[in-house]
Amino acid sequence: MNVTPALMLAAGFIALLAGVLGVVSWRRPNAPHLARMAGGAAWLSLLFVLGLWIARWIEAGHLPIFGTFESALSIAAAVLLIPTLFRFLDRIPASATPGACLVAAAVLFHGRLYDPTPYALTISERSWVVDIHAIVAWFAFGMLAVNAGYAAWLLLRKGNPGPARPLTGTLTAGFLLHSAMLATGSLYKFLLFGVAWSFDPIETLGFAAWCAYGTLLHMHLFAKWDGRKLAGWCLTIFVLLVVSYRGIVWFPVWSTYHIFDMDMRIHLTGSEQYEEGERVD
Amino acid sequence: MLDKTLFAVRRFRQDIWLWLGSWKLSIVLIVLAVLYYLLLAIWAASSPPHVVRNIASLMPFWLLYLLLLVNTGTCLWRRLAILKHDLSPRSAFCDRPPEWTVPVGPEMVEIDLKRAGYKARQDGPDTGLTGSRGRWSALGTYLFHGSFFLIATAFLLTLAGRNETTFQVAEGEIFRSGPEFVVRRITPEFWQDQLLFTQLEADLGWEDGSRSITRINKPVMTGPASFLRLSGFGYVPRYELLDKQGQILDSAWVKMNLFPPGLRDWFQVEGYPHRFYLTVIPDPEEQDGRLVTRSLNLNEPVIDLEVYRGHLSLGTASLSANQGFDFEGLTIRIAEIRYWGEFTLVRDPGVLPLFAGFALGLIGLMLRLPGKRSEVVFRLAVEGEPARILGWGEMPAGLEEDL
Repeated sequence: MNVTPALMLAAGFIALLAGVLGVVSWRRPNAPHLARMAGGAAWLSLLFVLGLWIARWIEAGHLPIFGTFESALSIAAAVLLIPTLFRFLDRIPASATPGACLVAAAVLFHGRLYDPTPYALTISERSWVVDIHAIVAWFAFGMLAVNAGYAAWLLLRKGNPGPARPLTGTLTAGFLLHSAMLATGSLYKFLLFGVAWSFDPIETLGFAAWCAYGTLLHMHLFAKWDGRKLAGWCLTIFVLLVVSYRGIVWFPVWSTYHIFDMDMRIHLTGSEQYEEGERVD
Repeated sequence: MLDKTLFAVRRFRQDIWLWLGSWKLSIVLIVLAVLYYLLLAIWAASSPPHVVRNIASLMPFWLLYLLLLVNTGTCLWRRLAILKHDLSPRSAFCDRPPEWTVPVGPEMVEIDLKRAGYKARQDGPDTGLTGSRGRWSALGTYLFHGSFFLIATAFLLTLAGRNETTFQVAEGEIFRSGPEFVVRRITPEFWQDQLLFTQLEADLGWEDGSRSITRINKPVMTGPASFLRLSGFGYVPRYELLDKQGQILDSAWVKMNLFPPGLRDWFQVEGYPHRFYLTVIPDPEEQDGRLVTRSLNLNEPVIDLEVYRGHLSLGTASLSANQGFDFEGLTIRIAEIRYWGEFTLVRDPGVLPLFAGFALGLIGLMLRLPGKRSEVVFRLAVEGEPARILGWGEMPAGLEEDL
């Protein structure tokens, strides 16, 4: 089965429905049927996106890491999977799911605008280090999306203040995963280019987001930021995280190695000449 | 007057010490780091990468890194006593009245404590049910923040000692200016007819008889801080220059920049005034009366040749293997084309400490995941007092709901 932009759009709408129903249920705690409908839509969205993700893996012949289109699927799958997984482990309440669904919908709507052609992986992406880096990145984004989703619940819900532990727990776990993502990215950069850091915009944006989340953790630990105040900042910094993950495609292709859309660039052999644009005759 | 001055100096030293180790300074510095790096990212959208790197090496950045390290070091030093306490055995950690209590149901079981994130155990009939959480959390904080120093040292070592040399070695050629190796074979593979490598690797033979494969993303370690990687690729034709009688006057391999197809490069033969310009069509087929390439793989390649003497063009030709081009009493032919690999030898004393620092930092963060250290013991209801949990260390958020 070919994964088409139309299918991604459909997946995005289901996730959007789950998210909107969930948010409305926060404001109407006396209408439990809304929460049930939201939960059902979230499950449907998760299964649909996972199905598309597996189909894309088969279609492309590799882990869906290459290009904005298929990485959107992977990120959306992680964002929808994490709250479900942690609900089974009784670590994150269901209240985090609607926010995560809205994030997944946005990622899918954005990703479907890009070239859906499945390309073979270039040599620079054929490595288990890259696979680990990509998987860690997806889960880092997913964990922090759940953190943002839970923060949104704390801010928007009616009723008594909710428990803060899922907020700080997802924040800490997300920070760990984000750190691991930066570390594995640096490792692979060294393997591929012989330098561990080169101020590529993907690195600087990722590091800025890492510092921002680090600041938030310090404010929680030392200034006792908690509850709605912490939640507001979690949401704010999540915007920076989204830019660092998905906004890289807005940069010129010569400025970063991290644009993997083949219609936007051709990968050469990994020589530093790619920085200077075309080879000189 | 002297007393006042000494008091002021001592007071200043204490204030500076407090200020350098304060978490508020940490916040200011980390927020500055966020702003600095956002600025770099914005610059990267309009400036070439080397300009961005130059901006990142300006004094404000160095000052920020230095202050962050000083602040981190001072914080860690000031909190050593807390670290010692937080790492002490349970008996010492709980060797004072409990810091908090939480009323619980009369039948507290292990699973309730586990749900709250504790490692629960029955310590014996006298001690009863106990729980421990974040036992090594304080160590995690130190490992994570301590890794900054290792990473900073690594970057300094890289700045001071990194060295990169690039050289081209053709298939069958022995490289002797450094680690000695022979390139047995270079294997490129392309996706369809696109300039898109799906494989590029070099099979190397070493002095001791061993072999290794290096790929563009898989360097070979040649020393404690030395890495050899395949970083480029091209064609190396072997020319033969013949006289009128067909005797070979000269023959050599010439490493040229002829890849990707369409690139034009030239060579000269020593002792002759001529220049030979080449373009390679690696996998030729005829389309609309002209030769184009089907793919990027070498498959009976054709060489487009143009010969010059000074500014005078002596003619052009499209030559298959061993086809010659005659000019001014001579014949030039391209007998063979092989691959050359561009190899980069990187000596970087900072890279291993850098990744050790990353590993240390990640281990520290994992130790921090359960939260700050907390020790609890369950006490049965006695004489009108309800059953309760007695706690030392940080009371985890949401504990009452969990229990």
